[in-house]
Amino acid sequence: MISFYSLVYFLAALTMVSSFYLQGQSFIRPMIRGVAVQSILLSSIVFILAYLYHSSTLVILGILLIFLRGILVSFQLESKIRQRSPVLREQSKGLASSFLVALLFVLLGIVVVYFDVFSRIVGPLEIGSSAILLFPFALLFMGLFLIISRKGTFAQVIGYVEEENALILMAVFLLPVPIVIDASVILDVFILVVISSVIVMEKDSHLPMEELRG
Amino acid sequence: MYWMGLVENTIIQLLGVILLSPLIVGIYASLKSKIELKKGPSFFQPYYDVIKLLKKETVVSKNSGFVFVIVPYVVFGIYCLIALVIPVIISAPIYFTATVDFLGGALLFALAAFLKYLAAMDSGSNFTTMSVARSVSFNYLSEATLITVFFSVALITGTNNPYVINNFIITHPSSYLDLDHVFAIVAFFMLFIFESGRIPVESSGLMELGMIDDGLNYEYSGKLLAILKWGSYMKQFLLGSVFLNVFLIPWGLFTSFPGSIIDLGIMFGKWLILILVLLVIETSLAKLRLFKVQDYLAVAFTFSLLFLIFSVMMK
Repeated sequence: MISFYSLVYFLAALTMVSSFYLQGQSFIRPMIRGVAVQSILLSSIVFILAYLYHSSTLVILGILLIFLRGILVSFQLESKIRQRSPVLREQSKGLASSFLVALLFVLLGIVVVYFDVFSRIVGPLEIGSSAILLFPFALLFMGLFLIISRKGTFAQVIGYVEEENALILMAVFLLPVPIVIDASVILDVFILVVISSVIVMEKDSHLPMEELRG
Repeated sequence: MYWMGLVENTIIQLLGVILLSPLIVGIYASLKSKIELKKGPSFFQPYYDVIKLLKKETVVSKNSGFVFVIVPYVVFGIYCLIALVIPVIISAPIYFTATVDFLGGALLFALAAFLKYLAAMDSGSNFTTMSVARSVSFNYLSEATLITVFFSVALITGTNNPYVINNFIITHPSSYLDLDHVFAIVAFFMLFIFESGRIPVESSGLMELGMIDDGLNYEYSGKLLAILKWGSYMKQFLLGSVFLNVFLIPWGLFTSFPGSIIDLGIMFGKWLILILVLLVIETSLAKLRLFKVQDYLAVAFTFSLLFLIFSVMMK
């Protein structure tokens, strides 16, 4: 019999796989759909936890995740792509090396979770061992890596959504629920503002030293 | 009585691998042609090919040495030895099981590949040497993946014996969907596709530009080519059977003697499932460009490393 906890672990691992996919994908449209899939995976974890804890607030969070992250944000991004060009892609810098660097971030996640820092502040979790916290940490670092490894605005926004997903994932394992919902909605509104402001400025790509020129 | 069963199981496993492996290749080729709306060869075409080649004259270049002539026989022997040490058809230990573990099996595969490279370079042909360079430059990632998968399997079960691993999944069905096992299945399946030279990595045929493993046999002819071809059918069968029996579908095999004859049929059924999966992949995906093969293997390697991480974490 497969327990619900192992299902949660499995789905959390799939979110990590999806972030590897995002890292390796150079076409923007599949990236947007990939991040939508990641958000839907996240919402399924939330629904399972809602069932396990008998929590109606988690159900609301799951629905919000599907509508805001899975549908609204990806729809917004895709509609902006259509205005730019039918096929938008970035130059790939070598999948093998970027995957290995991303793996390093997973390892970094493990180090943070397992050694010292986290074991001191986190008590026993309801979901089981604190090993589950590896996934949000790894996702967070990989989102950051996606942002710094790409120049295109779209990819960076997707990296930001991925980081947000990581925060939600960590929060549903750790915090009391209502705060999570508040934080999630605020972040969603914020990302929509970011997207629209970026599109208004019509900046295709960001170079590292651009902002510092006098 | 125990020894009787052991000897018979050993014979069934060895003969099963040697005789069934061309049939699997034939069924695959025939079904693939039918899906592409071609008439396709007979299921038994690989047997006909081998018999035809055995009757033909063997031509050996003046520049090649004795390694070129000996290696096909040695490689065939190595594959026969591997057939005796891993659970290919029968899930109970047989005569030579205790001699080699999983890592030993992987090293035997690597030894066979290494000897094939030596022979290909010994032929003195430019084209086969280029194929060696190509094959080696991809194999460094695939071998790493294979060894990582085996290390992690050893971490889960506490042993590196493939028979025990097979038994572990049968007796602990709940661990089938564990993260480490799922990632092992994915990594090993990607590796199997690479090693058996299928789309998306390599298209079996006569396209020299995309050849990786087929190019190694270019200087061979007649009997030597027949033996090499048969060896490659066996390699594919061995890897696929390990994938099926240890990772994907470990259930359903008998262990005692009369049942082990039925095992041949069960293995055949399992292979049909694998062939269907491979056909879906082969007919729906395009071949990767040659320099993208490394990316494909990097993904497999990443999965195997994740698998290693999870197997340590979940302890």
